[in-house]
Formats: sequence, structure tokens, C-alpha cells
Amino acid sequence: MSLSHDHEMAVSLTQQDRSRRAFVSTLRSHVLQRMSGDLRQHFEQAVEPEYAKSGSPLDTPEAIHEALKGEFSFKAYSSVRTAAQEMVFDVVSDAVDRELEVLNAKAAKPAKHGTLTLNPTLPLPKSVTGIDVHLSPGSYHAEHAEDDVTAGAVYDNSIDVFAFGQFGKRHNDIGTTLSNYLRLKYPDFAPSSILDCGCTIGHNTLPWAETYPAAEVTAIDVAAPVLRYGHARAESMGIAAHFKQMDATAMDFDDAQFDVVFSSMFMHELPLKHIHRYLKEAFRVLKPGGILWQMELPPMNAMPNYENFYMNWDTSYNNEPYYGTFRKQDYRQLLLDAGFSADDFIEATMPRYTFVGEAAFQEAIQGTNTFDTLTGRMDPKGTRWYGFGAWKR
Amino acid sequence: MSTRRIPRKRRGQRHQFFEADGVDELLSCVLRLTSEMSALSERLYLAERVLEGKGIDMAGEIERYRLSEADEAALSHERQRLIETVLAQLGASGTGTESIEDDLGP
Repeated sequence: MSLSHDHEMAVSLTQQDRSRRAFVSTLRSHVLQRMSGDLRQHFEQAVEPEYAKSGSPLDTPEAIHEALKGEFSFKAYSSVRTAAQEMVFDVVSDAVDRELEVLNAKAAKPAKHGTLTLNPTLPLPKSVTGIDVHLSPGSYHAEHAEDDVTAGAVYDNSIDVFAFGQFGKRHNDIGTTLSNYLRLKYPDFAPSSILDCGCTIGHNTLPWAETYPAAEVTAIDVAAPVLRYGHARAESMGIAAHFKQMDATAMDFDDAQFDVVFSSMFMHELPLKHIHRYLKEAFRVLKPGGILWQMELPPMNAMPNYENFYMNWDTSYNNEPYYGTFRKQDYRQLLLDAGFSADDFIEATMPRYTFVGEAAFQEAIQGTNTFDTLTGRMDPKGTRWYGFGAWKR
Repeated sequence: MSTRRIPRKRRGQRHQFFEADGVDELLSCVLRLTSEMSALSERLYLAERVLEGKGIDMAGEIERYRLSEADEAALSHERQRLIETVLAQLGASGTGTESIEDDLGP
């Protein structure tokens, strides 16, 4: 047997586990590269010219979606991608099932570095409980035993299979990239308190503690199983972080408590009314001189039509129903509505720090933003993350 | 070791991409079967290499081997697991989804 990760919450993998995981990763990679390439080629060479000839050009993502729905390449891509997504959770659940007691016992060990504060009376939003987000059975909140960490373990292991290595070894590239962007772009900024909202297992929280070792790092989520797991995972890595069960749209923190409010891949999972509440809360808990800084899917108004159609597949078919509405928003306006000033808005596209290294990263973030087929999408050829936020005066 | 089995099937209806009923599910079954076949092939490959290193002619030994009751039970268990995995999407759905309709507006 071998371990799935380099921390104590790692599950032991049999050779069968490893083979099944490798197969699903390979299948996903095949769908996202080969089959998605076939789909694009069919669109560009057959579907688009046909519509152009008939005088009804496909000039919106919705029109492209409608035009492709009946095409075999779309059906095959979508059907195989759905099956592969379901298999991700299936193949990682065997090892998590086997080690249920071991994982829950490890998570119950006394903490040495950070803290875990749960709130069993916190109402969970329907956006979490009402659907199995990402087609993950039980979503991120379901508990299968007392003080259960299962959902966290399934999530951590599923990223291995899902992302085929594209998030870095500890799945922390997004947090690493966004925190190093601030460090390199604003060298005089020295935050002492950092908050990660919608942190799940804290994989993108912990790099903030590494980038800014003097800062106190806090992470919140509504789901207890992922927080228990994330806390235990951080403890075993010897990284201090404070995990709290709290709703980012109604935080318990005092006003002006944090220098940085961060989130990654969080807002697109929220209903629009909750996005507004979250941003107002973020503005409230930020200190003057602090920054809201978030990794997100790029806005539709910055991306080409086909990219928008392709990216929005998930909102139609991957149980992420709020994602399309979010991407249609003017992100700057969202922040203005929450109290930030237009002049303080920032946005950036950036290469993955973990993969390109500091020198190339430093050079890239001096340039202009690029919105293309690599922006916001996992691609071994070179993913480019999108970040946006604002300073609070 | 835990014998628990957390849910493998998500709540709600699967999307139907192909018009004909069952095509999407059949494709899912085929992919799952292929995954199992891949894992098995890899295991067999490893077994051959391990035994080769010890000077054992595996093919000949397999033909001469007689299954015990314990072997039969283990293989039967594995066969059932394989069928459950391959046919996972043909089973009953999980419990119904909660309505999120009022969250979808502005």
C-alpha cells in the first residue's frame, strides 16, 4: 500500500485504488483535451459556417449551446464527461470507506498549532444542502458518523483524480498564486490577519500562512466535515490556521478585523443574492487599507463566446446552477454595490506560481491581462488563473 | 477496517444527452467496465513481473491450480462488487432534491 498524500490524513491506497484512480484521471484528461478539441473543431468547421451561411450567426454562448445540443460530438463529450465526473467520487470512496474510523480518530487528536471552532446550530444554506454540488454524492456537508470527516477526505482525494495534478501536489496552487501575487505586486503590504471564505479543506488557505508567516490565518466554511478534515490536515502539516464554521454571508467577526479577505472558486457556487450579502460582509470585516482578493472564473464580458459556452457547461450539467448568473455580472459593479470604490478595483490574470517559479511569475504579472482558452481552465499547456478584488480605503 | 459504504449515487436525475433512453447510462457502464478492466490488466502485469523475478512460470501454474472454498468465496465477493460498480447508474436514485428555485433569481 502507499499513501495518497504527504500528510497524516492521507488514506492508504491499494494497487487497485491506484489503478482505478489513474484510469479516471486519464479519462478526464482525454475528455477535457481530446474530446473537447473534437467538439471545438466540429463547431468551427461545420456548425458555425452553416449558421453563418443561413444568415443567423452564433454570436452568443447560449446560441452556441443550442446549436451544438443536437450534435453527436456535444452529446458524446457531455455524456462521457458526466460519467467521468461521477467516477471521480466513486473511485476515491473505497479507500475513504475503509479508513473511516482511522480518519475520524486522527481528526479528534488535540491540536498543537491552530484551532477548530464548530457551530452545530448554524443553518446550512440550500445552495449547499439542496443539491449534490459537482455531482458529489452527499455534497460537502453530509455526515456519516459522529464528528465525521468523510466529506473532507472524499474532497481531498477527489481533487487528485479530478485535477490530474494541475492544482499542485498539495492542491494549493490557487492560494499560492494569489498570495504571491499580492506579495510581489505590493511589497510594502504586510497583512497581519487573513481570512479565507468558503475554505472547504483549507488547501488554498494554508499557502497564505506560508507566504505571510507573520499573519494569523482564519478560514471559514458552513460545512463541518470539511472543516474537521481541513483542520486535522493543517495540524499534520504543522501549519497554524483557525478553522471556524461560519456563513460568509453573515459573519460573526467584528468590523475591520482583517487585512485580507480571500476566497477561491467560492462566489460562483452562491446564489446572486448571497453574493451581494457576502461582498457586503467582506467589506465590513476588512480593515481600512485591507484588500478583498479572490480567485474566480473569468467574467463573461472578458471572454470569447465559444469560451463562455464551454466554461458554462458546468452550470448546465455539473450541479453548479448559480455559476452562469455569476459570470454574467459586472464584477466591478458587484464590488461597488458592496461599498468599494471604482478606483480601488483590481483584476489580474496570472500563470500558476507553483508551476512557473518566481522569476517567470514576477515577469508575467507586470504584463497586461490575457483572456483566452487557457484563462480559468485546467490545461497542462499552462493554466492562467483570474483574480479580482478591491482595496478598502 | 470499516465496512461502511458511503453513497455512490448522487441525488436527482442524470442529464440525458442522447435522445434514446439508456444510451448515457450504457456509456457510463462501459466506462466503468473499462476502468475495471484497466485495473485488472495492470494487476496482472504486475503479478507477471513479480513472479518472473522469482523464476515462476505463471501461465502454467494457473492451469494447474485448484480453487479452494475460500478462493470461491473471495472471487464471488469480487464478482458482486464488479457488477455493483459497473451497473451503478442503473440503480435507484438517491433521495429527492430540495427546491432551490427561489435562489435562482436576482
